[in-house]
Amino acid sequence: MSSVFVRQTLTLLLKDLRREVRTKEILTTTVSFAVLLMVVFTFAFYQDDESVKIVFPGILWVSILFSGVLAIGRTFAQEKDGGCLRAIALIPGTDLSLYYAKLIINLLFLLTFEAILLPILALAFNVAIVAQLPLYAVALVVPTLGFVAIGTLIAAMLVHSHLREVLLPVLLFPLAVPLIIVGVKITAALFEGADFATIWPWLKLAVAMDFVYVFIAQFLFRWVLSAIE
Amino acid sequence: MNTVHLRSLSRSYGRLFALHRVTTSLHAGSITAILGGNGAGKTTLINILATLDSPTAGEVLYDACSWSHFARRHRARIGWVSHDSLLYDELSGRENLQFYARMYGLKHPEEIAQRWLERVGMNEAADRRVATYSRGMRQRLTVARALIHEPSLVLFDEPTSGLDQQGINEVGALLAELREAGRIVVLITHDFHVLDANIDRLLILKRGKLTFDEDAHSSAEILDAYAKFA
Repeated sequence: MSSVFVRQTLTLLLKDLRREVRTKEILTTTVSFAVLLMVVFTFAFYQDDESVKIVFPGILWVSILFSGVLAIGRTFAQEKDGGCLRAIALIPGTDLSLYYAKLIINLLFLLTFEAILLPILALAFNVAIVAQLPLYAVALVVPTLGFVAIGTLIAAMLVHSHLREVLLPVLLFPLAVPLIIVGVKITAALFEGADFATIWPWLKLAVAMDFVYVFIAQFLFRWVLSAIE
Repeated sequence: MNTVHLRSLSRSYGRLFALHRVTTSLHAGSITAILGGNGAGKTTLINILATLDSPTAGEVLYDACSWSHFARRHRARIGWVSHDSLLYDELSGRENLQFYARMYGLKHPEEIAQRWLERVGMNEAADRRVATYSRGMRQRLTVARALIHEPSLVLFDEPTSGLDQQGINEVGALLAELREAGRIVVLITHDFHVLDANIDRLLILKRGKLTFDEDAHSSAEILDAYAKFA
């Protein structure tokens, strides 16, 4: 890993974090949207303790999916608004560092969002998660990485499209579905008290998908960047 | 970099030619102005020189380096001021310059940013967010952003847009400095005050074709050529 890549990635990350601290744009919108979804789902599906088993994993991942699209959709907005994408494209090495900086920032935003959402959802549905918190964390982080990896690439592809808000979920959801299914399966298993050995086969699948998505996305990003700059 | 050669350079969008068989050379230590009416191909030419748009025919040689090789390997040698500011509104002027200095891998980014802030007269507003800047203040910072990495090919697309008279004079002084430093400077502007006494060569484009390519020094000569060939 070259020092140029590390320096550029860190510089882009710090810039995005500084911007988010000042505007609070992404976390505010995603968390408030997720809370709204949760309230609707709670009233729609919650009947008794038995029903929780069925609906809790689904509600968790649907909230992550929908709110994640909001966050990922804003990935390149600031670069586009000021025309900065072209200035960054003129700096050698940014075809890789820009992708990884955006991937990491999206991952940070979504994991922060999930760290807020999971306890709220557990409280609302009266689900005990504390005993298995590390496993829940793994169950969230692994599928989220793949989701963000492919989402960041698609967000870049759509940066100049007037229909990007519509096209992003249309293109992202079919690619993210296998990861979401794995996420739902692992969460459902944990809910029924499964240990690490039980969720490992599903987890292996998600890790493999993460590798494939990150590799393909970083490979394609340089062509996407040269087309959108 | 000493010379940029353009040989039968064309850029078409479908059947429409934005540039048609443009042949000329740009030299180090000289300032070349490009004039022409709307849709003449000025910005297309600047974008191709900046490697942000590719020619559909002909070639561009940066010394002996082809356009595609230069685009892949040497983009850091380009400084580009465009219609957009290419600045982040939520960051301050200082933070913007430090950001670009770090991205280019310059040593002592804080000191370099401070030096450029003073040079473009933005020291007092340096810690305010760019969103609060006037058009002229943004333009000053844009010039600093484009030159912070000391590029050898400097491309200005309307650098005096939104500037007051003092700012225009400062751009004129900056152009003279860049010429002294041996840079290749290409300038699109409609501000004849900037052109007067600042340019060494004048190119005039009309509907994508190069209609005038000669040395020009006084504003009277420039106006005369513009009236005849634009």
